[in-house]
Amino acid sequence: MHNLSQRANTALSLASTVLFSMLGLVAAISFFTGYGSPSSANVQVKNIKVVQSRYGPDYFDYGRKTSEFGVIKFDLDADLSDLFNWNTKQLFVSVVAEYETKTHNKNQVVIWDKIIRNKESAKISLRNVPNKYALIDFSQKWRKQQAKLSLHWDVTPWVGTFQMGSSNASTAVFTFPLVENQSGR
Amino acid sequence: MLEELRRLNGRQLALQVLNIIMVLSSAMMIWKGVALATNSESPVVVVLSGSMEPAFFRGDLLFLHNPVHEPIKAGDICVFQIAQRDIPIVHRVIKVHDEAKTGKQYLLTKGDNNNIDDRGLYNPRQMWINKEHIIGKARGHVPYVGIVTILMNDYPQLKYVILGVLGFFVLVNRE
Repeated sequence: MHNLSQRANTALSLASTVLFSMLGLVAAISFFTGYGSPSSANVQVKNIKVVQSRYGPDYFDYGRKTSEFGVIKFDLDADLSDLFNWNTKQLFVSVVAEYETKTHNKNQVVIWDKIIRNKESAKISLRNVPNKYALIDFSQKWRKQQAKLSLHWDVTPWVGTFQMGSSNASTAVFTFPLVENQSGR
Repeated sequence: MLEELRRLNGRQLALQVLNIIMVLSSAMMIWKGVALATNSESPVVVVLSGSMEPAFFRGDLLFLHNPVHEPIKAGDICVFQIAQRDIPIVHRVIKVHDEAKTGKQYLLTKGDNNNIDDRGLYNPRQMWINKEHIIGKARGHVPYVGIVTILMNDYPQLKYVILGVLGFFVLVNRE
């Protein structure tokens, strides 16, 4: 006997099996083939100074006027269009400052980010970009700390696993200077 | 349909009920098994807010895992739960400070679609979240599939309608 509910049941289960197999297949192909690497990705530090303030550029109140914020300007040249293939929904690109201190052996501070939604805007060439987020250490002091900048990207697919990568950071090493004399703050 | 239900004798009815219990318990076992394998109490979550648009929209399904020996890195998309809050949040990590002595991680998160970081969402005066707040790192996603959950959350009656209809069909459906 084939009544309506049995037919509907069969059709629905076939449809969902096909749909999920397709999604699984797409995810598997992208997982194994990957998204490649960008043809160029380069960050360069143009200017770095340290100021004392209660607020960084994102206006979170650190509560102490003596908190030390890095004020950085960097150049960014990257061609990320190779990361766009048939299963790329967007790229999340960020510039990360990385350093080691005595108390904290790994520190990563994202200072800038950008969402790239299509291949046409995946060529980035920016000059003297200021940091978008507060460049402040856990201790809120910089003490001539050495750090390096790198470009990180995270590929968000339409369906499947995320894949991350980053540029070589050894070319963008810098040292935080001592606090500049403050006036009018 | 009710006719059919009446035609079932006691033995058949018991079989049907056992079948339902079997289905429910295997679903439960699979869920808990995956939770063990991924070390995440909730290995699949549905995105409930638009704070990560355009990466994820409401109703997207995220697959998580939470490996013990792999620390969180900047850029990871994490699902975390603040103490004494019900609803977990899916956001991206923008600051990481690993304490050398203890290995404790101090993390700050932010939604891609939000203008500011999450300190306003944490408890008052809470500056960081730690590994114990993290339910898992998002490893992959499927769009839209979780929309049923969203609908059931928005219209709670729908949940009972769907459960009722499904239960009825399972009960009367023989062979």
